[in-house]
Amino acid sequence: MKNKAKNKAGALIAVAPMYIFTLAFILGPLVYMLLLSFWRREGEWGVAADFTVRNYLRILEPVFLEVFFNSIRLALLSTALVTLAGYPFGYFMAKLSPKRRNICMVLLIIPFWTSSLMRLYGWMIIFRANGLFDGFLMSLGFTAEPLKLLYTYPAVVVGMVYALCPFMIYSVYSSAEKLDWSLVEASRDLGASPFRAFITVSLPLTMPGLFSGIILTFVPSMGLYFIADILGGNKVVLVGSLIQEQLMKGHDWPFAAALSVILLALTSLFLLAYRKITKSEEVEGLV
Amino acid sequence: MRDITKSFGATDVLRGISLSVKEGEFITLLGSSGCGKTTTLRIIAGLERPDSGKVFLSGADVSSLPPDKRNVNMVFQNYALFPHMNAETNIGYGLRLKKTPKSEIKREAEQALELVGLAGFQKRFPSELSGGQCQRVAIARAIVNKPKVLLLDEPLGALDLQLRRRMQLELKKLQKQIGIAFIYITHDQEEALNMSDRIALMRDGRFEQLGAVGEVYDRPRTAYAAQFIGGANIFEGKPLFYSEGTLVAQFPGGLAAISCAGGQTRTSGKICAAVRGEYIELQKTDDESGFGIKAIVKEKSFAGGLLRIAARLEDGKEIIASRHGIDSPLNPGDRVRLNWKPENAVLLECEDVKA
Repeated sequence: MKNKAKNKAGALIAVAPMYIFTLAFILGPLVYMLLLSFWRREGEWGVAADFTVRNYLRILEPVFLEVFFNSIRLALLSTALVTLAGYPFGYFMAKLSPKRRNICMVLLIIPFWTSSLMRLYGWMIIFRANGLFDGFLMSLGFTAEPLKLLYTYPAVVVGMVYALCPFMIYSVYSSAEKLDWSLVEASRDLGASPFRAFITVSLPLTMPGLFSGIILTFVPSMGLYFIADILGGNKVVLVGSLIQEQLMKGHDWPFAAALSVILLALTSLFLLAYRKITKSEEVEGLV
Repeated sequence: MRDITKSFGATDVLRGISLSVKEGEFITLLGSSGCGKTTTLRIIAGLERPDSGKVFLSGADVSSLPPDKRNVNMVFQNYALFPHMNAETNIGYGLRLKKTPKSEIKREAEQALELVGLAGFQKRFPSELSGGQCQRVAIARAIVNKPKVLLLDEPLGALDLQLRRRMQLELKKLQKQIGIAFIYITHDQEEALNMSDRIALMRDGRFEQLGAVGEVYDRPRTAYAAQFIGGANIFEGKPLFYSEGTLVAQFPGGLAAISCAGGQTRTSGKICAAVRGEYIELQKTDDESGFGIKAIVKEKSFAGGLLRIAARLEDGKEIIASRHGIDSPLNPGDRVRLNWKPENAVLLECEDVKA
C-alpha cells in the first residue's frame, strides 16, 4: 500500500511540469483573453477593467460579420478541396510498395524544411502577372494575356490547400495503411465493383483518418491569415488578419480579444456539430 | 458447375496445372506452404490473373472476368469479415449488392446462420465473436450467394485442434447438405483425408498426385506423396526376382517382398517402396539369417493414441513404426527384424527420395 502511494506521488511529480505549463501558458492566457474581451479600451494602449458587452455588439456590425462569413467560407472551401485532393493521395500512397511509399513520404516532408513564408513567396512568383503560371498558359496558347491571379481569391484558396494538404494526406494514410486489403478482396469476391468495394469497405474503414484529417484542416484554416494576406493582398480579409490589425494597428485589445473569443467559439461549435453528424451516421446504411 | 480446367505457363509459383471439379465435389489442394495452393485459389476467384491458361466455369471462359463477375465465392484465411458490419449485414453483403429485397436478405441471413449453427447471432459484430464463430459467419457470408464453387483457404488454420476436428465434420456435413462444390486448401493431411472426395497434392507449383482419397493414401505415386500423406517410410533397394505378382527385393539389411500388381518386371537398377508405419511389423531376434530387414530400436514415444517406435536400419536410415496401445515389449537397443505384408508396400517412382 505504501509503495503504491509512493508511486502515485512520483507520477504526480512527473506530470506536474506539464500541468503547470498548461495552466500558465494556455489556460491562463485564455482566461485573461476572456476577461479582456469584456473590458473597456482606455487611451491609446490601455484597458480599463469595467464590464461591458460593447466589444461583442461591435462584431455584429456588417463589416465585421462579413469578415467572419468570409473566414468560414474560405475554411469550408479549403477543407473540401483538401479532402478531395488529399484523401485519394493518402489512400493510394498506402497501396504503394514500401520503397515507393518512403519516397512519397520524404517528398512530402521536404517542403517543411523551408519556412512556410518562403514557400508562399514561391507561390507569389508563380501567380504574379506574367509569372510562371501565366507564362506557362500563354506559351501553350490557352490564354492570350496574363490572368493576374496573384491577389485574388483563387490564389488564396490554392495557397490554403497547398499548406494544409499534407495533414490530410498523413491522417488518411495512417488509416489506410492499417486497412486490411483482404477485406477489399472479400468485397470484390462477394460481387462488389471496385467503386462499390471502395464505398462500402475502404471508405468506412478509413473514416477515422478522413475525420481527423478534416479536423486537422478545418481548425487551422479558420485561423490561418498570413496566406490570405500574402496571396490575397488586402482583398481577402479574414478574422485572423482582423484580429492582428486590431491588436497591432488599432491597439484595441478588448475588441481583438472579443473577436478571438468568437473565433474560438465558432471553431468549437463547428467541431461539435461535426462530431454529432459523424457519430450518428449509419455506416452500414451506405451499402 | 460442370468443370474448371486451368493451366498456367511458366510462372515460378504455378507451373502448368489443370484441374476439373465436378458439381458438388469436395476437392482438397494439399501441400506445404509456398507450393502454390493459395495462388491457385486466388486465380479461380479472379483475385489474381494467370500468366497463361484459362479458367472455365460451367463451360464458360471466365479467365478475363473480375472477381465480382464470377459466380465463385471465397472464404479467406483470416476470414476477412467486415469489422464495421454485424453478422447479419456481413452475410447480407453479397445479396445487397444484387439488390435483393430487404426482407429476403433478412430471411436468408437467418437461414445461413442457422445452417452454420449460429442462430440468433445476427447483431453481433466480428469483434464480439470468437475465432470459430467468425469462421462460421465467413462461410455463411459466402454460401448465401449460392456460388457454383466455394473456395476455402485454410479456413480452420487458426482454430485449436478440438474445434478444428469438430469444424471438419460440420463443414463436410454442410457441403453435402448444400451441394456446392468445395475447393479446400490445407497443409494438414489429416484434414484433407477426413473431408475430401479427391485430393490434389501440390508441390512446387505442380500437382504431385491427383486422385480419390483412398487412392492417394493407399497408392502414392511418388516418395513425396507417400511421405506427405500418412508419413510413410521409404525403403530403397534392388529388385531381385518376381513371383506371382510379388517382387522380392534386397534392402540394406535384408530381403522383403512387395506386391506389384501394376506389372513392373524390372530386375535391374533401383526400386523404392513405401510402407506406412502401422503396417511395419517388428520382431525381436538375434537370428542373422531369415526374411526381413535388420534394424536396431532407437526410441519409443507415445503421441496421439499411437506408440511410435523409431528404428535404425543398417545404412543408418531411420524408420518409424506405429502401434496402437501405450507400450510394447521392445526396448531401445533391441535387435529387430522389420517385415510387412507384400500388399501393404507400394512401389514408387524413385526419382526424388528425401532422407
